[in-house]
Amino acid sequence: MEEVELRTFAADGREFRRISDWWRGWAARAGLSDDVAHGGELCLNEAVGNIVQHRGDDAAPQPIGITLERVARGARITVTDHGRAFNPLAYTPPDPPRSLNEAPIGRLGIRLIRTYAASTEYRRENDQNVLILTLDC
Amino acid sequence: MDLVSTDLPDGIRKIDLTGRLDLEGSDAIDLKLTVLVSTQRTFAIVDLAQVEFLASIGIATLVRNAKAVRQRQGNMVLLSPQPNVARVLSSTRIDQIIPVCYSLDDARALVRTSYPAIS
Repeated sequence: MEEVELRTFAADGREFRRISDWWRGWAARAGLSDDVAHGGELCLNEAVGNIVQHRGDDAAPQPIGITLERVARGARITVTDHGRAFNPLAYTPPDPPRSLNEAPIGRLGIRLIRTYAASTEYRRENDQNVLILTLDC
Repeated sequence: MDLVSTDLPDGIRKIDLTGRLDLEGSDAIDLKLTVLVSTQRTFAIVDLAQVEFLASIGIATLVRNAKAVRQRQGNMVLLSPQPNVARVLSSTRIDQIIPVCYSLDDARALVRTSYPAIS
């Protein structure tokens, strides 16, 4: 199999299913376990969701680039976008709710990324946000 | 994402979800779910056995509706999530604030439990 694949998608919520379908196919070819494949799919959903949610008032949002790589420890997912500088890893998710009354609606995407990705990295380079997630097999 | 609602003889509303609770899936069922559980006092069992994927947007849909149910002094219980979905609920501690059961009998018993109404 091609161990590195790169595709671009529109920064649009309608792309989520295409992204998921592509990831699942690649994960199967790469021999990832079902658990790792599920974790990667969730991380991708949440990462792209953050981009779409925080793109601000971009009249013509730039496409999102996603690179999938099979690495020794598992898989590496790199998500790039040309939106305004935004580091999702700098956000501190709220504490887990103690009751339904105090539970926030939403704001769980970063917590899920941190749960399912073995490591996370963000950098800003060439006017792009670059988010790197590593999944361990 | 599909939603099928059944009113059980004991006045409990069972809501069966099928598919993916991602952005597209949540958009597809959000309004229907709200109408079914949030417009009057309801004791609802949301069956997740056929939900194969749950993202944070889907959790938001469940939490929002659970809050609305509780505000009307009803209750909501989640039933039989698949292992991957159960792990998402557990890692976000949502299973600590919306009860999760793995048998319909347990869900029917638990959904009638009184919880303090929320503001």
